[in-house]
Amino acid sequence: MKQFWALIRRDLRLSFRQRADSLMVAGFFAVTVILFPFGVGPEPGVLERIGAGVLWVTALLAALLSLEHVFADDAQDGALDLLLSSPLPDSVIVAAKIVSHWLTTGVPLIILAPILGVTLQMPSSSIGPVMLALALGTPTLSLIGAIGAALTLSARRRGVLLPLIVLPLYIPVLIFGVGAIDAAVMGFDNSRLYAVLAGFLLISGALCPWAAAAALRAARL
Amino acid sequence: MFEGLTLSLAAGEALIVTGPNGSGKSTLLRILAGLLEPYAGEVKIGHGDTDSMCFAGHLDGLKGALTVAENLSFWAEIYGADGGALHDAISLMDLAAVADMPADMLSAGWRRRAGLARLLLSGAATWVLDEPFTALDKENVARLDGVLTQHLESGGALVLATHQETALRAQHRIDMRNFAPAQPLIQDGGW
Repeated sequence: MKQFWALIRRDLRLSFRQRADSLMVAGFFAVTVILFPFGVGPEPGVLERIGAGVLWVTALLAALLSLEHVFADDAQDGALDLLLSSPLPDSVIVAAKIVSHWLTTGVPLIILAPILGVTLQMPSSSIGPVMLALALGTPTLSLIGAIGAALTLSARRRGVLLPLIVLPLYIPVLIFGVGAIDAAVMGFDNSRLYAVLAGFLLISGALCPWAAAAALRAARL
Repeated sequence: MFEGLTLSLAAGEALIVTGPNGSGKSTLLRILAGLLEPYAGEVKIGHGDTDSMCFAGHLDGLKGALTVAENLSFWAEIYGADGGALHDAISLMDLAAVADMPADMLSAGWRRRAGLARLLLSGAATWVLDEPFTALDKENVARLDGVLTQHLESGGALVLATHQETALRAQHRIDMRNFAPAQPLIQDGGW
């Protein structure tokens, strides 16, 4: 467990030193969301209607941008081989990489989303649901994404292959994530939708580290 | 790559693996380190666990944005080594001068030494080293020889792939040329 936190601390320190990656993801998220009011036009009602969907789809794409680096950086400088041959269980290594991916790319999205919601004319009552839905959904994105990142580690065109593998798996999170925000905006009880998102998180949290560790071994062997 | 290779190593013994480029030295070492699965055969280390093994390959695994001390204290935490071991590793590899420099700014020889200092933190009984002398100058080759000898004297085992002649006294030597498969892997012609 101490090693688990040591690995996360190292990754956080690295991403703090090399802020470009986190900033790029947050910047992509912000710029893409801001494009929508320009593209769709300012008519009231339209933006409000699509706001939740825009936030979620953009968040998926932003998370995807950084997935490539989850294992690739460590593979390139040899640290991954050294970690895999250390006494640390593979699934612990993978879980730590997933947690640090979420902390460096998921958390900035959660913080930015309510601000960007304003540009989409989303009501102020949606701030809480937007943040909660993203907080429950984005860890699942990192968890599922890690499997794709591990599978494509030794692939030549992984930038193209990774979205093809991962995006279809993101659809359930997208559907329930958008549903949770929309229901809250329309004043319905959305606690069940949160529960579904939390369920996805628990299931993927239990399975994905092992699946990604197996994929990683297969990719390295 | 190779076949029919059997080797065993007791505590305090060293094995030097030689052979031309592409003869499978690195492959053999990666198999020993558990990073590759052999097509046939098996590897046993210690009492059946690979935890007492530490691997150092061509790449040092150093993070360029972190200082040498930060890199090493990360590995110390991974291997569960204490601050004393970290201090010893830095002084044994003579890294004190660059401890607070980002690994990015180091020359190849310094990086190599910083990478190899990790071995001292691992507390592993078996060291598997792939070309550890690359980029080291004469003085540091001697320093590394000293560290390796000390490891052997304290009951550790050592597998070393190298092109360079080393002053290290090795009980075993294998030449990968003797284990080349009878059938070449890639045959000419025959579309």
